[in-house]
Amino acid sequence: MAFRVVHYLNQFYGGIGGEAEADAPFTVREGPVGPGRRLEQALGGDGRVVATLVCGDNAFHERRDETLAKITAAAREWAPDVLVAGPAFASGRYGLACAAVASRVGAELRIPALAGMHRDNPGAQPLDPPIYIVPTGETSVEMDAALEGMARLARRLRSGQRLGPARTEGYLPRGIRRNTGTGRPAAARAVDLLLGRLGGAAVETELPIEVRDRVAPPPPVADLAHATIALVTEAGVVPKGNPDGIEAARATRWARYSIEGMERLRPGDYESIHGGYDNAWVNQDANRVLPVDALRAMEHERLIGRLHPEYFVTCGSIGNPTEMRRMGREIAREIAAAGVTAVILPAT
Amino acid sequence: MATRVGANRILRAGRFHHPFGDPNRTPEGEFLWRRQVVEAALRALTVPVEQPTTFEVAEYVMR
Repeated sequence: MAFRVVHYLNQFYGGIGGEAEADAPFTVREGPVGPGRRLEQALGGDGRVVATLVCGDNAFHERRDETLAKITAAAREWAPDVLVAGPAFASGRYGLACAAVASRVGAELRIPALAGMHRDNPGAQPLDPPIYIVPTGETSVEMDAALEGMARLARRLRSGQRLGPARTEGYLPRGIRRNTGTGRPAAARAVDLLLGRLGGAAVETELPIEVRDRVAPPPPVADLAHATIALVTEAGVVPKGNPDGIEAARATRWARYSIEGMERLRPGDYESIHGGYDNAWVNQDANRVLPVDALRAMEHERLIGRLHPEYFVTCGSIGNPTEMRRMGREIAREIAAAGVTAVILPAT
Repeated sequence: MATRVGANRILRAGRFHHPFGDPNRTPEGEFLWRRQVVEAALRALTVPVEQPTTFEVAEYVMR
């Protein structure tokens, strides 16, 4: 008999709409919706998508606990054997929601739960209770491969058999280590590894050391009244026409624009090129992202020493962490050289 | 999201798509609200932290 899958999707994949519909409240539909149909095909008769849970990404995060409770109650009514969420690819809010849904529903209904997303998605960080995350490409161009991987893992989880290592089973490592025998002593394996590396082969370590990207917090600002405050943003707000061609997603470029002498950002002079949020509000008034008007007023009142005469901008939509780190360092160098005391970073 | 990626000082402000905006207010009201949020952000910068810390606007308004 086919096992029962309940599928979680956001407003876009659930067919409601794009960023403008990110407030869409949680709803339930019977059977598969959108990519759920291909997920069902990929399950090949072994599983059926009996219901689809759809929730807007903003709606989910703005009322997280309440929404998770509703989602769990709804999932319970459909008696699923497996919970599948996404794939979210590189969409951060969606990935976080998928992971949270999988974790909560899996734990409360005591069923296997998995989500699909890119390995750099913020939602791919380990959770408690843990879930399985199937790594996918960055965009829905790779939907078919993502669904194949998720269907395969769903079948494996249902089989009740003990899963093998993450790499062979197709999910992201969860930091769970099981000892197995290889029949060869560690010394021999270590020598092979060394020889392989010296020979230029791409041999993998048995013991990956996790590199944590933590930045130690600097000491606090001692004297705001004499401080220079700079604005740095990933919200993609640029002078109309995007003169430096900052990319709407997966950006590799950043830019700096003068706000010298401006009392505020003038409506009509700026636009947002960020593809990951509804730009309508910011296009009406860019001070809604870069609070130049407020900071300038406070500068006049000597509550701060100075508003730094430039703002720095890139676009954080589906940002590649390596590129974002590089740009962060480059901007930090400029800011430090200019004697800025502290930064406010509006994020979207 | 900010907590997950480890930003050290996080201020809960407006909504995702307008962190320093509140289109439900009049223009004058929105500017006053924005000032309060910015003041809270500046106050948060003066607080020592050891790890990612979330601040709320209500606690940090200057006046």
